[in-house]
Parts: sequence; C-alpha cells; structure tokens
Amino acid sequence: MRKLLAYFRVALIDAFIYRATGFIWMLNDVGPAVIALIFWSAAFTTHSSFAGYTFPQMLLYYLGIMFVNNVINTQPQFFLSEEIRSGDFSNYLLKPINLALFKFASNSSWRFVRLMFIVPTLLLVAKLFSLDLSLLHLSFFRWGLIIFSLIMAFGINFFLKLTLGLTTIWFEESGWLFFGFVILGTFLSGELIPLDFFPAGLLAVNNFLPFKYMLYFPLSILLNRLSGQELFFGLLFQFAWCLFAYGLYRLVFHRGSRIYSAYGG
Amino acid sequence: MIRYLKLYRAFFINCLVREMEFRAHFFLSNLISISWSAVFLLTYFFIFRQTSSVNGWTLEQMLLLTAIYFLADRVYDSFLEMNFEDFVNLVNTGRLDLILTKPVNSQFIVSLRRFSFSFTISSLMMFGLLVYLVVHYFWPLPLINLLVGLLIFIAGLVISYSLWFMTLLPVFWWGRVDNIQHLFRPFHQLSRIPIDITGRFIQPLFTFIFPLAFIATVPTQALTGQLNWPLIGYGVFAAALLFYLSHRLWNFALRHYTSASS
Repeated sequence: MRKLLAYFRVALIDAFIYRATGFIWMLNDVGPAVIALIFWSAAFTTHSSFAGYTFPQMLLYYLGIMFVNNVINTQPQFFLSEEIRSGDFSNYLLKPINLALFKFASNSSWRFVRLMFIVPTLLLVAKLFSLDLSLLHLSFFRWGLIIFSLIMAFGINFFLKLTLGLTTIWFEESGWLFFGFVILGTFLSGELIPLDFFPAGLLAVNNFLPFKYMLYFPLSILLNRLSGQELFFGLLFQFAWCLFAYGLYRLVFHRGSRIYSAYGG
Repeated sequence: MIRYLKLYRAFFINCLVREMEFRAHFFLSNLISISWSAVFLLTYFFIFRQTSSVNGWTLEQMLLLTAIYFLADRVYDSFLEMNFEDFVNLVNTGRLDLILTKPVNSQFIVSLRRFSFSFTISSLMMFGLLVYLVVHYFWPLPLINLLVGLLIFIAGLVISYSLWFMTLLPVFWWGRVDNIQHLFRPFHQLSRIPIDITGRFIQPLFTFIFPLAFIATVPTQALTGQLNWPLIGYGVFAAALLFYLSHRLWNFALRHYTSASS
C-alpha cells in the first residue's frame, strides 16, 4: 500500500504539471459523446423514443460514457509500448516494482487530476441538456451493483490494454493492434450508439466478447434496462472476463519478460 | 505561386521516397482509417432501422455527409497532421529558427513540409463512396451544384485549416503542451453531424462564428440539390477571412518566439 501511494504521489505531481495536456485529452474523450448528444437532441424533436430510449435516458447514457471514458477506461498501452521500445521497461524487471501496480497508480493519478475537469463538464452538460434527476434515484443495492460493475469494467480494460502494450516485446510496432482494438471497442462497447440499435445476430455474438462489459453493461444497470436474469449472467460474464484479462496479462508478462532484450548503454 | 508549387513538388517527392521505406505502415494506416469510417457509416444504418428520417435528413444524405466529412478528415491527415504534430517540437526545441531563416513563407513550411501517403487508399475510397451516393441517389444534378459543392468543400478545408492552425499558436506562450494539435479535433468532429438541425444556439454559432458547417453540411446540401446562395457566399468570405486571420496571428505569435538555445 505504501508503494502504491508513493507511485501515486510521483505521478500526481507530473499530472499537475501537465494539466493542460490532461485538459486537452479530456476534451477529446468528451467531444464525441457531446456531439452525439447534439445529434440526438435534434433527432428527438420529431421522435419521442429510439430503440426504447427516451431523450432523458439517452442523455444519462452519454453522460455515463463521458464518465467511464474519462475516469474508468485508462490507456496504459501507449506509454508501456514506448517504454519497451526505449528499454525503460528493464526497470520493471530489475527493480522491485510491480508493473500492474505501478501502472495502476500512475494512471489513477492522471485520472484523479482529470476529475477536476470532468466533474464541472458533466454538470454543465447535464444542466444544458436538462438532466432528469429522478433517473438517478436508485436503491443502495443498485448503486452497489453499478460500482461493482464499473470496477470489473476497469479491470477488463486495464489488463487487456496492458497485455496489448506488452505485445510490443514481440512486434516492434504495435500501434495497429492498439487502434484495431480501439475501433472494435468503440463500436462494440456501445460508445457510438447504445447496443440496443444493433441487429440481434451481432448482439448475440457481442455478448461473448469483452467490449460490452467495458461500457454498455454498467450503463444498462444504471438505466435499469436489464431483467434479473440478464443482470445475473451479465455480471457473471463480466467477472469471468476480468479474471481472464488478468490471467492473460500474467501469462504474457511472464513469457514476454523471458524473451525481452534492451539495447543501448 | 509557381515557386511554391515547385517547392511543394520537392516536398512531395521527398516524402514519397521516405514513405516507401515503410510499406507495412502504409497498408495498416489505410486499413485502420477505412475501418474507422466504416464503423461510423454502419451506425447510421442501425439508427435508420428505427426511422426513415432524422429531422429531415434521410439515410442517404447522412451517408453522404459522413463520406464528405471523412474525405475532409483524410485531406487533413494527408497534408497537415504530421506537420501539426511536429509543430510543438519545432517551437520548443528551437528548430523553428532554421525555417525562419529560409527565404520562403514560414507558415507555408510549418504547415505543409510533410505529406503522408498513408491515407491515400482511404481517401480514394471515401471519394468513391461520395461519387456512388451522388450518382445513385441524387442524380441528375445540375452542373452548377457540382461546381458549388466542390467550391464550398475547398472553402471548408481552408476554414478547417485556419481554425486548426490558430489553435496551435498558444504554444508560443504556454510552452510544453505536447498534445495541442488535438485541441481542435473535438470541434472539428462536430462537422460530422448535420449542423443545420442543431438548434437555435449551436446552428448559428457553428455556421457564422466558427463556420464548421462548411466542412460537410453545406457541401452535402449542394450535392443533394439545395443551393443557398447567401450562405455559400458567406462560406467563401469566411474561408478567406479566417485564412488571413491565421496568417496575421502567425506573424503576431512569431514576435513572441524566443528560440531555445543559450
């Protein structure tokens, strides 16, 4: 725990120094959801619902996307890939530093600073589009489920992206893998439109993939759109994906650290 | 003008030679950008399973708007992105000194020195999709609409360049903001939705003050048979004004450039 706090503090100082950088990334993460909301607010002037969503529900869905993208979904793969290429990755192998713990602490500190920007932004968007606050009157149990599901979403995203970053040990250039994952993730996680718009066949396949559990699933618990059975099996799948992502990360880390070689002096 | 064209030809050949060394990168970049556009186009197919029009915009019009937006985006990726990415480093490392001593307009070099061939196939595909949609759904179209569509698309590119370039200039004061080239991106992305239906506040804001409507919305209107002459005139005027403003601001920012050595 002391180690975790020390890592967190070091990265927090960095994040405060580069707060303008953090602000620009926040705008980039919020932008597409705000644009989608502008589109939907125009679309809802002639329709009362789309795929079972009313405008207040759609608004809450996209506010949820902004929150998850800015706070829960981290992107450790890019920097890790750079560290592998430059040889700085050796630090994780030679010193008593736990890679996952270190990345968790440094990513959390950046996200912590981002909270300063994202909270006022979310409040502003909620105010501008007139959020229906009654949608947030949920039982403690449901809030507990949402938090549990968000932690699982964080785990799936974090360990899968760390694993992607580690592939740089094998392929010198992994950018195409990262972007391939981002494109698939953006589409199949429900970031562009809620998955309820998708055809049934695609939805059936998507239930077995990890993407919907990184975004759509926790948001559907928030929006109360799941039956008891869907909720139970969804949480089960989400937990299984989280365990799998962690196991995969451990496996790839151990295999990778055996063949990794750093050059230079 | 001829001198600049000759210079650009030299830049172009230089970049082609460089790019041919990284063939895998060429194919993968194209594949990624094509997939990205495909994902957006697909979502409109899914949305329009629920309705036949969104505030007057049909599926075919939305697809055309998306194709035009992504074509404009690919033009940015090909001509400007690499240069804008290098901009912060140019200023912070003092490499801008070298450019300022050359007997050519410095804004021209910092904006267009490097050309990326990595989006050629993707750009051609977007153009192909645009032609397909126009021919299949909006043909016959008077020649004047095609010409105006092209004119306003170019005006949109100039507007997008000028606004994007101006957002880079604070780096002269702020110093190290490594991702400043991404500051304008979320605003640019707004042009992928029809701006004319966005309501009392956003529609005039992004048509007249930050005229992003000219990047995709107004060209789509021209290619679907709607010509609003005063708006088109304003678009050309706004492009010229913003381009001039970007040049003036560049000269102003240069006066605050302190270089990086000693």
